[in-house]
Amino acid sequence: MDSTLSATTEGTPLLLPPGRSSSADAAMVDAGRSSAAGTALLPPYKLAALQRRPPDLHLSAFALLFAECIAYAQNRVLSVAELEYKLQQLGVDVGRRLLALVCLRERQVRRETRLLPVLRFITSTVWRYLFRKVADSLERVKDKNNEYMIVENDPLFTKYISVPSDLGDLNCNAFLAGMVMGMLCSSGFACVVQAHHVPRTDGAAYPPRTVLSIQFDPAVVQREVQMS
Amino acid sequence: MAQDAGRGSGAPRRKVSTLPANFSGAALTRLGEQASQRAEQVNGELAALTYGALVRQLVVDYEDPGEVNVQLERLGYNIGLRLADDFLARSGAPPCRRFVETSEVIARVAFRMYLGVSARVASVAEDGSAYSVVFEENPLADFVEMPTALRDQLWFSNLLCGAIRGALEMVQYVVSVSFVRDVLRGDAYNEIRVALREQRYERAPPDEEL
Repeated sequence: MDSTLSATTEGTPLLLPPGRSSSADAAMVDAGRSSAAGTALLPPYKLAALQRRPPDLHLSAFALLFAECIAYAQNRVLSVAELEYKLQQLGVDVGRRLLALVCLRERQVRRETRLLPVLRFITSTVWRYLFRKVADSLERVKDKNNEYMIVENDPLFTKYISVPSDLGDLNCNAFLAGMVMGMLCSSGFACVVQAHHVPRTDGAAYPPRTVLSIQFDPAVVQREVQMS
Repeated sequence: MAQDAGRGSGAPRRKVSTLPANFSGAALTRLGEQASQRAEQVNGELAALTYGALVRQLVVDYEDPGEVNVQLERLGYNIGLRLADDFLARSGAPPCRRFVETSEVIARVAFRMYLGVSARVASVAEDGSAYSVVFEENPLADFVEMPTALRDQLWFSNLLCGAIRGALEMVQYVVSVSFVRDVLRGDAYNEIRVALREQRYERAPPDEEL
């Protein structure tokens, strides 16, 4: 099945009809071909979708939608690990497409090619786009040069989600982990990202802290060493 | 509502599909905007991509677009059941005493509050038992290209229909809701038809001691 969701792909120039302001698409429009041709490759409602941001969704609506995603996945799996995997794959789907969209919206024309800058891109630019704040911290795991952690003190997705005890340590931020994984893999940094619960430093139980642990492929680390 | 049921098929004293004064379009629109401003918001594009990933997963799992429509409606139904309480708590909308009043509240307040979309009511049936909610913008379908195989069979935003059905069922209206027009199929606007099937009346549970 090929139900494609496409933000604009990097390779396709947008030919806008004359008179349209292209400030939002400056990164994508090929400056050499002006709008003299006058034909739009996309129908008007799609151009509109790219040029202005859609209205925001109410948190309740999104929380319920996310809860239904989890419930749907839960009905089709036999174990907690499988459920986390399904949520992660859903997130990878989103993350792959989100990368191009974030670059468009945040006017990020250059793709990061080094490890730390791409992680900083994720924790600041992408986080700001998604949650209007930066991630709480980005750390490297001691003694391991391919493992990093993004700490999120109050993750938005799981604000209204409580995990019953029979599901063990399921962390529904597996979806967020999948998104990060999708973005990193699409940027050329093969990795696996998982979400873990971490006890809070002040001893309170709520809101629960989540850590996204990123494990990069050895090839990525090797490339990084070679480039520096 | 008991009076409406007892009216029978004789000529009603007033046209059932007219609305009382506090359901004016402007008042309800203002209510919708205020409710959405008070709320915490989530990036609309993230929501669009999340919903799209969900639909894509359903299409992969079920393959038949008719079945996907049914599943989306069911998911929406579960959402609607919970959304009704949330809506009543947050919106401050006036209580609806007749079915036709729910039309304006859903279109002007609920759509604005939850989706950020300005919708309006159209094609209200003569006896007030059905209406259409019409909206041009659909934030859930922003980045969607429908493949030709699915285009005329899949209603992409069928979740909305389920949500309306679930929410109205929580206020004792059993309805059938379906898409009539969808921008993704090439129509000029989106149209959802809501038709009343049955009105339930709340009864106190039977006293078991007697």
